[in-house]
This record gives sequence, structure tokens and C-alpha cells, in this order.
Amino acid sequence: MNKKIITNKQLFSLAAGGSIGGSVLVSAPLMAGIAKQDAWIGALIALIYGACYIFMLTCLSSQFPNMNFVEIIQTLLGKWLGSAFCVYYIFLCILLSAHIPWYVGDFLTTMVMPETPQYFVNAIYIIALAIGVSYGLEAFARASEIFLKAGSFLFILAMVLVLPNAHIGNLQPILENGILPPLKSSVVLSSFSTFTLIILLMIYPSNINEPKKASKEFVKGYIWGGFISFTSIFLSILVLGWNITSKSRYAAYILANEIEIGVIFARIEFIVFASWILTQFVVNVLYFYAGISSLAHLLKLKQSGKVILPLSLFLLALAEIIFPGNIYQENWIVFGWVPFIITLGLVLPLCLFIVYWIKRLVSGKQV
Amino acid sequence: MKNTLFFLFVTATTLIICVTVIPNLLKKRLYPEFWVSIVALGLSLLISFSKVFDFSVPNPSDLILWIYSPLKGLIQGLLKQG
Repeated sequence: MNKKIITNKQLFSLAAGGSIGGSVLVSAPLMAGIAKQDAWIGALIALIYGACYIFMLTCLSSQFPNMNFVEIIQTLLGKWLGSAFCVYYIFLCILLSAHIPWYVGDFLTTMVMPETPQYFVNAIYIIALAIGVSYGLEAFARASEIFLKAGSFLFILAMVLVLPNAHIGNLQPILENGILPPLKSSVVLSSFSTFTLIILLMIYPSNINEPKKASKEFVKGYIWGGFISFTSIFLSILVLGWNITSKSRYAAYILANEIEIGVIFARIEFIVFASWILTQFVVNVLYFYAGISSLAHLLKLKQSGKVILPLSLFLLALAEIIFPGNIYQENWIVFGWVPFIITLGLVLPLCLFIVYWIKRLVSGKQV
Repeated sequence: MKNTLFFLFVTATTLIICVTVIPNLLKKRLYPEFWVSIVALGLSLLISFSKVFDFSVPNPSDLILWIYSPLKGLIQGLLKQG
């Protein structure tokens, strides 16, 4: 698993895909619910401190050029505490790999095919997921380059086509309640698009071709992804207004419903879904791959490819029970997901950083 | 009917995996892989049984909610201000 196979361009597309996929369709309603018409300012703030956060991640992991994240945790926190955090990390990976199929299935069965049972959609998606993971990291990283280009193109096309419907009045009054609500909403966006990139530490920098230039590409990829999610939130508010945005489950899709140029150019809202599912697939394969490779590291599996098939079946079963309903899911996002990802994505790397510096000060040399 | 199909799909896939993949693992003495596969297959069978016979299995999302339930008031103040 420790081959140097990812080029910098592929790291760029993995980071951008990871950052777009988590956020673009899901986070806008939550943000608009908190910050109302100022949610787009929250997206800008999240972009700025997200870039600093990614820079912090690259600083941490570049101290350990040949280790992945699980090995870093175990080196710094010791065997028992480290293993406990690893188990929690694997739990995150497996849980999230089951959540994303749920979102895809929920979207399709709500918006397009209401009579199809959700597990049919999930099964097709998870079969693709299992094939993607079993082809290995290299094949997948190459595919993500195409996915990112296609996804970005389709998304920007949709956003340009919807521009004629924008009403600038929807943005006013700017900063009605001060800077605090946008700040709060930026936490929601970063828990979908920024902190989830902790997953890339499984392949950065241990699997990167040229680790020295890679950190710049990582940050660039994140900024591109953040720009796309900023655009989706900005245009949702500009076109739909914050009230409709906060009440619709998949705001960017509703937004693309508004595209109507002439008579021929209507009903093309599915291009937003296409761009979403392509990038969502990138995140999902990353999470599943990270889950399997950290499981392999923790339990000392020799051939981790052998467990992909049983675990995929487990994901299918898990996706069936993981959210009993939409209201449960909305509640879970706020009270479960945000603190969960902040613990593993923000608090854990900060603790690792502090432990690293203390160890370095005490021993007076590299750990 | 809906859940029966799901149950049949999961059971059939489990059987196929048990026949094709599992014996190979034992033959090559890959015991950690064997146990991971057995646990994953067993849990998926359990979940599909619960769908048909209508009993509830613990949901991992509830575990997360329970772990962070002490922070609920804090998050309520932070994010649900609307």
C-alpha cells in the first residue's frame, strides 16, 4: 500500500472533489437557516480559515513523510490511546461510507423515482463503489481527474445558465444581524467540506510522487472546491432567496430547476445532480479506501483487498438502517455530525501537533 | 414485500461470498481477513433479518448522538439560532 503513485495533479483533483462532494447539494439549506441572506459571507469565511486549516494539516503530515494518518496517531499517542483513536477513526470512515449512499438514494427516490425502493439505488451505487475501491488507489486517482473536470464543467454551466434569474434584492440587507450568524453558518459548511479532508492524510504525503510541491496543490484543490461550494450557496440565495433555500432539502437542485432559456433549454436540472454524484463518488471511495486501509493497518491484514466485498455488503445493510427518516437526519447533522467531525477533523490534529512539539522539545530532536 | 426483496438480496450475496471468497481465505491462512469478513457478513445478515422480522437493531448514528449528548445545549445555542 505504500507505493508512491499519486501525482500532484491527482492530489489536486482528489482534494477538490472531496471538498465539493460533501457540501455542494446538502449544506446550503442549513447555512441559510442559520445566517439567512448572509450565508454566502459564511461560505467566504469558511473558505479563508479552511485554507489555513489545510495548511496546518500539511505542516503536520510533512513531518512524517513515510507514514499515513493512522501510523502518525499511533506514533504520537502511543499504542493504547492511539489504537482507541484509530478505532474511532475507522468508525467515522465506515459510518460516512454508508451515509453517502443514503444521500444518493434519498435524493433519487425523493426527486426522481419515488416508487423505487431506496436500497435498489443504494445497491447499484455500492457495487460501483466496491469496484472503484478494488481497482486500487492509482486507477481511482486517475478517474478522479476526469470526474473533477466533468463535474466542475457541468456545475459552472448550470450556474451560468441560472444567472439571468438572479435578484440582487435577495442579498439585502447585508449583515443585518452583525457578523455572528455568518460565522456560525461557516462552521456548518466547514464540517461538510473542510474537516472531511482529514481523510486525505491517509494518502498524503506517503503515497505522493513529489511530496515537496504537493502541499501547494492540496491547498489549491481545497480552494477550488471551496469556490464551487461558495458559488452554489451564493447563487441559491441570489436566485431563490434565503427562505426557499432554507426550506428545500436539496437547494442546488431546486436552483437548477429555475433554468429556462427559450423553450428548448429547460428541464436540464439534472446536470447539477451529475456533477454532484461524480464528486460525491470521489469522497465516498476516499472514505471507504481510508477505512479499509486503516483497518488493514490496525488488524495487520496482509491482503486487505479480500475484505472489500463483505464490507460493501455491510455498507448496503447499514445504509438501510442508518437514518430512520428525514427529520432524524436533519437533527443528526446538527447534533451528531458537526461535533463528531470537529473532534476527529480539528481537535485530533491539533492535539497531535501539540504532542509532536512537546515530544520534540523534551527529546531535543526529531521524533 | 419491499423488505423481503432486500432480505433475499443480502442473503443471496452472503451465500455467494461464503462459497467463493471465504474458503480461499482459510486455505491461505489469512485469519484476520477471515474474521473481519465473518463479522461484516454476520452484521449485514442481522440487519436484513431485522427488516423482515421487525425487530430493532442498535443504530450507529444513535451512538454518535449519545456520545455528544452532553454538548447538546451548547450546539443548540450555537447553531439552531435561526
